Amino acid sequence: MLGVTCQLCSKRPATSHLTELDPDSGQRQELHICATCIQRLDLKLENGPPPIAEILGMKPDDVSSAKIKVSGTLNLPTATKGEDRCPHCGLAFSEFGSGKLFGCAHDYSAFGEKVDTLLRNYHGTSHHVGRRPGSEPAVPQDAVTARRVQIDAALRQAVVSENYENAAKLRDELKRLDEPAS
Amino acid sequence: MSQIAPLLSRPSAWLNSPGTHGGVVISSRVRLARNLDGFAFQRKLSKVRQQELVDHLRATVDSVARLPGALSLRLDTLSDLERQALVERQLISRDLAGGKKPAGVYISGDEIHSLMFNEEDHLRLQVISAGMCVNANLELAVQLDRALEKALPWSNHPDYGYLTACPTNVGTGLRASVMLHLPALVETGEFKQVMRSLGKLHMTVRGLHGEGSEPSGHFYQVSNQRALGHSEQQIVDHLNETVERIIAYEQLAREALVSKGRLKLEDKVHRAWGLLTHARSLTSDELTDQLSWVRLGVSLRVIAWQNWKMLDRIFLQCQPAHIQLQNADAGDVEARDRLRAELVRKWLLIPPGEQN
Ligand SMILES: [Zn+2]
Ligand SMILES: [Zn+2]
Repeated sequence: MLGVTCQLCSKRPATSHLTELDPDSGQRQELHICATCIQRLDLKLENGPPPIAEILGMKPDDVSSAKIKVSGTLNLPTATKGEDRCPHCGLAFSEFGSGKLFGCAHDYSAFGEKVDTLLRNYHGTSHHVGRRPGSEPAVPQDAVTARRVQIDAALRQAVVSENYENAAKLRDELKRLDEPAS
Repeated sequence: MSQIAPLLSRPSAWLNSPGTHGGVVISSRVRLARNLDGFAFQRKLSKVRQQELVDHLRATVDSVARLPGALSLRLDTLSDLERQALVERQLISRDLAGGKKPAGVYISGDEIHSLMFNEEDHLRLQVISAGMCVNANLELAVQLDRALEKALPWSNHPDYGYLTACPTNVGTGLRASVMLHLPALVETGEFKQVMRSLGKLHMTVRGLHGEGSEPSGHFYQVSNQRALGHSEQQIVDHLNETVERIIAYEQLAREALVSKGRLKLEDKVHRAWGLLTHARSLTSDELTDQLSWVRLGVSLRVIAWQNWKMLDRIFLQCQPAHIQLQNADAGDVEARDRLRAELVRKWLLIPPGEQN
């Protein structure tokens, strides 16, 4: 299972993953970097990462190559003439790179193998194992757990609405649930 | 009167300090991303269709969710300030607040549930609350999703699960996160190592962004990076394990601060207290930084003042849009910073027993 490769050196596995969202355009940018590059560029991530654009501007040599890769964090092929487009929304796979957003749900099938590779690169797999519409939760829970979750939610609501009397009752019930059955 | 006026003056569901683990954990959040069959994703959806989508989702959620005291809002009927206040309460994303596209939000009366319409995905279902409770949040989110899916056909794929606009969310559509207060790890310089180990665990760490461009140095959000290939419960378990480990490191670092650097710690905390109780002008970033030290001081009891509720109140109510919407004379930055300093002085110096 392979992780994401560092986008600055394209060699080592990335250990830090920065995400930025431009509040105006809503564009998302991600940067994956390795420990060596963090050291090389003397990035002070512990005080909150600098803006991605700033990191990319730090070493002139890195900028051009890194910029290309940033537009395709998930290692995308470059645009080709007459390439296939999604029959439903008209998106070409190469256009996906800008903003890393698909055009419609059909793109996942329309670009077949390419999407599969992309998912395997990012998630380490391309096979979903969790919930599906209409399915029960992955881990079935017993009645006590279900009740505990219910009380927990009611308790928080009681606290927020400053209904302390009700909150105290709920807390007592929670305590009773936590006691081992004798 | 502002549509969101009922929200503004009250406490927030995700701020109920000390929460758990001595104040290290601030809040937990889960978010499910869902898209509706029959509608393209946003970048290929016309404005007209986006409005249809928002109307359809709002109407369906209104009739299905039925959460007590809920508020259903159209973003285009809110002012920039009102949107900003919803961001400050963590009820909508910056993305949704800044966009000019049709959008909406449904907020439960307790602010634990928030459903965003026409965000990057058609629906973003968020459950947020104070302390370490990702499991309970996931339960609540799935409960609501189960009710909604009976009325809303979600796009899904036999191999890939729930389909999302960005492939980083595909599969479960789940992003689970915990907001942490990690002053000791940061100040002892150990945070760097923790950061490094997190990448290997496929976790994302982000600093809390305030008003300025610089993220505040002590508050961090840890979230899962991958949404595909693991069940919702596995993702949450993995996050919980990781966060528990970070908390343990933070607590060790706090013990070290107390035992080895007590004078420096006390000095920092009391300086912060002095600054906050005397300043005549406070920027929002300065307040966050100094409040972080007071918070640490309260948690470690190096300061006699022990009013967690007030810390939360200041944290929430002194954010820019909250100040501006509740004070007629807070129009410009200068006035806002002056008012902020006034509020902080007043609230920190309220004698115990005279609160509220
Ligand atoms: Zn590198
Ligand atoms: Zn398409």
